[in-house]
Amino acid sequence: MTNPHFSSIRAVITLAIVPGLMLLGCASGSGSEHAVEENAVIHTATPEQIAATHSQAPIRGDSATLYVNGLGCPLCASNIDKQLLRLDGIKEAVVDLGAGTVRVGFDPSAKHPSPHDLSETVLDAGFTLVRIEQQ
Amino acid sequence: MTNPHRRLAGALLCTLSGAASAQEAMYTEAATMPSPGTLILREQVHYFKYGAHPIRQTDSTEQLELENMVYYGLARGLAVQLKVPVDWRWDEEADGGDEYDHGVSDLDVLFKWRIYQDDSGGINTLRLALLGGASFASGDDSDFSSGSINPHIGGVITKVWGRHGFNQDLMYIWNTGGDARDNFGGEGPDDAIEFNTAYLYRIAPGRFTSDSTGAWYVTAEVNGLYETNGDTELRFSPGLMFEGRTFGFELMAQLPLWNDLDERAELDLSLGIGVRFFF
Repeated sequence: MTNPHFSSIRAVITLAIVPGLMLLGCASGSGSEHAVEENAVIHTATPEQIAATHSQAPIRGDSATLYVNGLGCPLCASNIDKQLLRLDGIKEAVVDLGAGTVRVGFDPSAKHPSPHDLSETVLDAGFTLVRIEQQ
Repeated sequence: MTNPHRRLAGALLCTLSGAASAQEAMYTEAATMPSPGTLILREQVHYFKYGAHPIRQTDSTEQLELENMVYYGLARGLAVQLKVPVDWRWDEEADGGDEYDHGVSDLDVLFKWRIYQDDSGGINTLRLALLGGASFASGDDSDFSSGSINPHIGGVITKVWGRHGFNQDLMYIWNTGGDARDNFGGEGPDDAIEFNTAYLYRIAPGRFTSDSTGAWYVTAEVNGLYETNGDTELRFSPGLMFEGRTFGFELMAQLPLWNDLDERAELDLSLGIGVRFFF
């Protein structure tokens, strides 16, 4: 004799998984045209550029552009600029969601942060720093 | 206007005048979280209309719930949520009488620990987080608090792909107290499994630019609840959400999709409104 609880569980699992898979299909399948357009920005880096993000030497110059992956929403932008502005030596952080970048301006009178500092701060904010361009 | 409805309108106005994280739908958890030291205040008001409750011996119940939520980033990949629900409830009893009650429901503490993250593009990300916490008796002597400590544990996966977002959560709740008479879903003496699926589609802007400071999303959720007494329920929840850099706004509804309920009332309809502030 079938336990009615198992029948309920089976029905619920079926009803939950089916729409779940349909939604996942929408997200990764039928929406791919939009996704291709949206994901024109996929930052990549050479091994040298990746290694450079671990450097402990202070960044020279007045500003730098951070190429960041995972910036999916406006609230993400606030997460990352708040974290960067807490770092010593940064006076401004401007997020460009379209380009997936953050331009940071350094305080000329303070010690500039290192690429390692910036990388760790971006990780703290919940994102991935791919490379840094110093200006 | 009757007294209960005047109170309901008053509570709504209070909330609107008074005042999660990113890509987070209304009822489904997400594997996103505030960064360390940052805080998100989220306020939601839900109106619920239920049918007859077999144990309460009521014909129908209306309930207004104000959910006060605070999310705080503790460390990299670790955040905590505190939820304080305040409820107002109006019962229409089978004998024709009315009953009104209000109170503070169980307080809920939930820790979220991100265990996997793959940021594969400027927007694209795939994240997985473990969820764990407990609800605690509020100390309120109304019918809303279970008077017990109820641990819960689960997980959530989030995928953002261009304009599309997908969240799936699963949570097991050990109910150590509770009263079947006051159970409207997961609050009774039986353990419960919650499982929610959310799909978000960004309707505007179609493509982020350097000037983008906000985005509009439509959301569709399937919210499931199984209780170990055999009661099971699926709800469909459409919604509309605006997310800016420091605040968000959301409208939501819930409709019954499928249920097999013997020991609690069926949901007829739920409507909700919410705001989020980022500090």
